[in-house]
Amino acid sequence: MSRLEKDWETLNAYVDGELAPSEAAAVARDIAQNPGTAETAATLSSLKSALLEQADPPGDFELLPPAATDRKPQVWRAAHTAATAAVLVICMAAGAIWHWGTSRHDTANIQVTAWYQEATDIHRDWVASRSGERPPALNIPATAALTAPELRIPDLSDSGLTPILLQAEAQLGSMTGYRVGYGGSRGCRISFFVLQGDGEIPVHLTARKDGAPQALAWRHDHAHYLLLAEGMAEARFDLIARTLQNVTADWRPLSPEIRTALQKNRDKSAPCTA
Amino acid sequence: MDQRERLESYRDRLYGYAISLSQDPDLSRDLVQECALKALSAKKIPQDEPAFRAWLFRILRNAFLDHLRAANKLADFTLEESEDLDPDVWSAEERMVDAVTVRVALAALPTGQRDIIALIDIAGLRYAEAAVLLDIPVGTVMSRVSRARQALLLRISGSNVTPLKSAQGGRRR
Repeated sequence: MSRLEKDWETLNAYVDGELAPSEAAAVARDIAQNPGTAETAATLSSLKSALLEQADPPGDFELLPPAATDRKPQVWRAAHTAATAAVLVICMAAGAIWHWGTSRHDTANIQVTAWYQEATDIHRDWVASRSGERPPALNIPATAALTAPELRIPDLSDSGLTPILLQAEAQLGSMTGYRVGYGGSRGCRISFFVLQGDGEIPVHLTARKDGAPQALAWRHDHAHYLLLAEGMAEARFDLIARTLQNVTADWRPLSPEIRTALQKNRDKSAPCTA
Repeated sequence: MDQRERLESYRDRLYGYAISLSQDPDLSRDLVQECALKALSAKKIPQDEPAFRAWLFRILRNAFLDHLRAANKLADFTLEESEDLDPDVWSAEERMVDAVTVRVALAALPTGQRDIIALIDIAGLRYAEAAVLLDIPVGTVMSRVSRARQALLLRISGSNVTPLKSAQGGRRR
């Protein structure tokens, strides 16, 4: 195999999130330093998005013929119950998430609700337009964190998500900052807002539970964070949010334990349905 | 999530995989429904999500192979791997990679190359899952994926398909 072929294979595997961390780091460095590699990676990323568009059945398509719609083997119900219990245990063990949107009416609630509405529009516009829009050049190092003074991109490759969009000037209300759009190979899209200013967002994870998309917000000092996704398995979304909450506290690389947890969590999750 | 819901979460990807293999909407519909019925009536269903995913797409793939066999067209299922890597793929100048162009180019690939691309990019399988499904080493999956994408990009760059302009006009916020 020639060097060219080996590099091509490696870049494809990188875009698919299939490389070991050390290999992924090497490719990410190459992407950051070599515009040609960055453009090729962007082309591959664009190709993957366009291929995903092929999974678009006709509007009248039914998974099952009408006569078969009532079949429900009991074994699946048992599995469902067990899976639900497992998710509940995981959520309880992981710690509390505060909720807003229906019962609290303090300043923070009002602010996060306003953010949520703005952020939802931005996120949905991005997801809806991705089929006709080439992703920007993938010149964002996807490993660890990009440690430029004002711009940090957390690494979510262990969860199968790579940064495919960087909105350098994002705004929600009076807060300004940036947004990173992550994409996965199974239809998942996440918007991660990083905003600066004097806000009232609680430090702890606060969830929006009374509507789609899923959202979790938190704060460290004057830095405010908001994470949005749609149709993602709840346990996976929660784990990603908790990971980002920890990462944004000190911007240290992820521990091996967390990386393993993200990988296992991703492997066990169903594709995003939105 | 009950059995129907679990299957429904793969509905679009099952159809996308079926249409990638068969290039026939009616046959794709039949293949997916046959796959769903078999999955629902199976006595042993993998609980682990990766195993379930690979199991589900293997049912669909076997249904397609059965169809080819019945039509005496099994020989059409070829890989026809491309030869040496074209440096133009690596340089990746401006390419029009949109859904319509990709659909046309994908249809022109040999079935075996459509298979591996669809398993990874449409079905969403990991390399290891595809390796189990196809009964080949992970390294072979990695090689086949990259070569199939190379072939796809070459067809895209050599096509005369004019990509549709996005209704959004590339608007970003």
